[in-house]
Amino acid sequence: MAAQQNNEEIRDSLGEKAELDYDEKTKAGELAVKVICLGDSAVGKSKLLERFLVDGYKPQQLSTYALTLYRHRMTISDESVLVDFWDTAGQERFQSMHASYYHQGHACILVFDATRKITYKNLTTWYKELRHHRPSIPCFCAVNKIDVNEEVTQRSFNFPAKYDIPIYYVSAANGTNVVKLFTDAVEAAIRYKKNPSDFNDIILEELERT
Amino acid sequence: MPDIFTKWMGSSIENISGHNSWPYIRTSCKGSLRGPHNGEGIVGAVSWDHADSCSLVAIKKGNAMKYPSSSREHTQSTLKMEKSASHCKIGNTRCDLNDIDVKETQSLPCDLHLKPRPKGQSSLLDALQKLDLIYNPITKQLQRRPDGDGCECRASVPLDMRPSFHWSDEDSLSKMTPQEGLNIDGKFLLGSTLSSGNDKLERDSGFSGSRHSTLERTETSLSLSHTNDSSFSSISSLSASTDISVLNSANLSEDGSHVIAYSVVSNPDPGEKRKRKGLSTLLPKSLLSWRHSPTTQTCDTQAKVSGKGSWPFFHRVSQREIESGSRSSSSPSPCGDQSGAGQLIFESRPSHLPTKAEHEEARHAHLYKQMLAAARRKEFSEAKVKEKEKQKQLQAEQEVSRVAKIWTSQILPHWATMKDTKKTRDLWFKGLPSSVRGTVWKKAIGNNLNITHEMYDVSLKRARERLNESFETEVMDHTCKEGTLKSIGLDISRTFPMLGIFQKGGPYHDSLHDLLCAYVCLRPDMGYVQGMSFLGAILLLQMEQEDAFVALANLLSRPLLRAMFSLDEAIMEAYFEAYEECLKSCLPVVAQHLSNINLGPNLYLLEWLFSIYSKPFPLDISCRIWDIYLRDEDEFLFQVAIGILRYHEPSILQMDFITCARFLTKLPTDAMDIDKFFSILESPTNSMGGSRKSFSHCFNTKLHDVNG
Repeated sequence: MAAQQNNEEIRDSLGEKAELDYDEKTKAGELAVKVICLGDSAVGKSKLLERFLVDGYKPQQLSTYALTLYRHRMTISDESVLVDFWDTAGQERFQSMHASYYHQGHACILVFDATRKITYKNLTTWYKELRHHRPSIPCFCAVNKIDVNEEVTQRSFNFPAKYDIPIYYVSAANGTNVVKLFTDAVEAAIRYKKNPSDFNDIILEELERT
Repeated sequence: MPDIFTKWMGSSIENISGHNSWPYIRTSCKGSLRGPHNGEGIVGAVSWDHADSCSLVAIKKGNAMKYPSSSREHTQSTLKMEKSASHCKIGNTRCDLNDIDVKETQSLPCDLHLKPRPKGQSSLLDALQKLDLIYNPITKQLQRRPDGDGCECRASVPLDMRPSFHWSDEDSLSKMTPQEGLNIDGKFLLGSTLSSGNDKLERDSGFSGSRHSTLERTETSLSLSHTNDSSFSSISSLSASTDISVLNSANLSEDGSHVIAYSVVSNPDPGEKRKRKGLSTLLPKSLLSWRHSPTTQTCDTQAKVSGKGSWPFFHRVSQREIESGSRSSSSPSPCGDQSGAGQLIFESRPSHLPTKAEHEEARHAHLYKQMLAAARRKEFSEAKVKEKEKQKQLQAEQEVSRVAKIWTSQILPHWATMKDTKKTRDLWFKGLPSSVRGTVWKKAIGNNLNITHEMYDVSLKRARERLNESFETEVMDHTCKEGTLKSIGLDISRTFPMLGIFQKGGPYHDSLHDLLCAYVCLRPDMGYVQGMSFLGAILLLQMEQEDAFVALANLLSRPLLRAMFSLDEAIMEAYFEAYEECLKSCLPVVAQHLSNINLGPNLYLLEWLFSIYSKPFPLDISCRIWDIYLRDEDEFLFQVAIGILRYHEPSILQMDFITCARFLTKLPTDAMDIDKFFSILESPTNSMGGSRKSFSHCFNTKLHDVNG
């Protein structure tokens, strides 16, 4: 372990490879996980994150055009975890960008807007793209803005059922279920990281080792 | 009480109290208090404390207002605190004597009104002259004239209210004017202080503070008497300090106490003569017509005090205290005010507290002085900085108006010939004056597409029709992206949310929505792409809606923006490769680091480009970037990116992938040195043209590769 840390430091000081590798522990021995947020434009991805991270809600938000990154340190079952949330643009951008969004992601949160049907419909597109890059990372579905449309909480949705994705009824505006959603997602990300069932990852790791 | 007070004082409240000494405040008086924010608000205020009641006379812009409170209550509250004395210090307050008018009214013996007075005639002095008061230089008290009318000497029950107003100013003494103490309505004490301008006062006091390293340099005391008879009022004492700057710490140490104001009043010391002189020059004759008349002596309060010599008349020092020889009741509160001259300072120790030991008192006094000195120094340096900033701003303003003149008189009328001259380009780089920005932008963007205002109307009409239709199936057709009309509404409110003008109900909300909808209907092949809202917003801030439409359409037909907003990945790839190549030649170390940490331009550059830097930067910087972008076309946008990396080079080199990605997607702009940033942009080393590899050359090669 010490040797490994030394190695890391040496690598850093040489500036050869300073990228934070999500598949390893950080220098401090913390787990680092990456959680991706996907969903249509203006479904409230950034707002949900903001609500979770700062427990605040501002009604106005800058739209995300490419990417916003949030780093958060949590303690999950007595273990310190460094979580990076990747908040992506909702509107279609360039495919080349998407690869880096998904790269080494450990969990994904798909968000749609309870007040706009189209955002639900597009979930399938998002999901397909996700699975293209990350075939087996844990995925969560969040219905945002339930404060505006309360009836939605009584509804069940086909999409999550079909793909066996847990669904959360959340509201960034009043905070309902926000902490639960993110905590569950981070826990799942840790589980996934410790025990990746992702075939791709195993192959990649093997390749890197050899 | 603080609530009531706050209500009136608003943001200026800290100027009065500033710390938790509310319980010790007996009177606080202000004249035209100028808070840090604006020059208005409460100009006069009186408060009575003991945390349970207070009353204010708040004078606000021409009206006299009395904060309502029953007189009974106040009488009681007044009586309650009879054992304590207080000094308060007003520095940093600005008050205009001319604004204060003392009137006799029917219901109240004295009332204060604030009236703007055109001429320099001081009405306060007029009013004071009318009052039947005399000044007794021995007792330093004002008393009613013995031959006064019916309301004579009811001040037989002394209340120990001893609000003293301290001036902590000596260099601006010449401008100092008397302070006034009034007993209003039998309940309120009001003093208003007058002084020269704020800045001057601060500066001066700060200066002298550092010289003496003590606060107690100049003081004016004003003792006010109060009667328990709520039906009448009197002005009990009034004194002004002009040249009492001599009164200082020596004086204080002499008697070991810190009755700052008081020492002026009754300490026989070298300063007294000067003070007297100052008084006589300042106060109306009638006030100073001292008569050593027996009538005044009969006043029991006076007799009592004169026996003690060094204590104000109306302060009833408890007998026990006197006997023990303690001066504790007059020791300053060591929790002195950190902000010094800006606030009232209360020096008397409440009598219900045990007396301090001598060494403790000395130590506290020392600490107190130190704190005040520190506060002075701080204020002094702050004032200096302020002054400098002011100068700088003034210069900048003059420069802007000069440049604007050049633009309107020399360049704009001869646009075709002037626009490419070195002089114009240099001026242009320095930032367009906002008065000509819109015009220059329009000319610079041009109208190659020959978009007319009629086209705007037609497009807008169509957009409205389409919006009213219900989109049952929001099919994203690649040739017709009119379906994106709906998503425009989602972004309008998220455009410059901090400006608050594009939000729902804001003045620009509808025009931005119309503009973007019309554009989508003009170019259904492009559709609405996020980022356009920022471009439209920036344009709308500079020009009329129709012109913004023309400009937006033409702007989006520029090669880079067209590639971006039509999501042409191949061309964008070529741009990015060209950019990376130029980055390598301009900033090899940074380029190497970014490549090491595997941070490609698609993670940060797109966010910048899609809004033409209006999202990552504050509006003033983005407008300047736009200025130059419109002059230099697409290449400049990549130069800005390289400039940002250069500006932040030292920090970027320390960052790992995720830190750097977060940093670049959320640039810290608060402490940004704009001049430095733009000089980086201007420097030839940052430019990709010239001797270095030309960006367009790079790009064309890449593009050829892509297409080939």
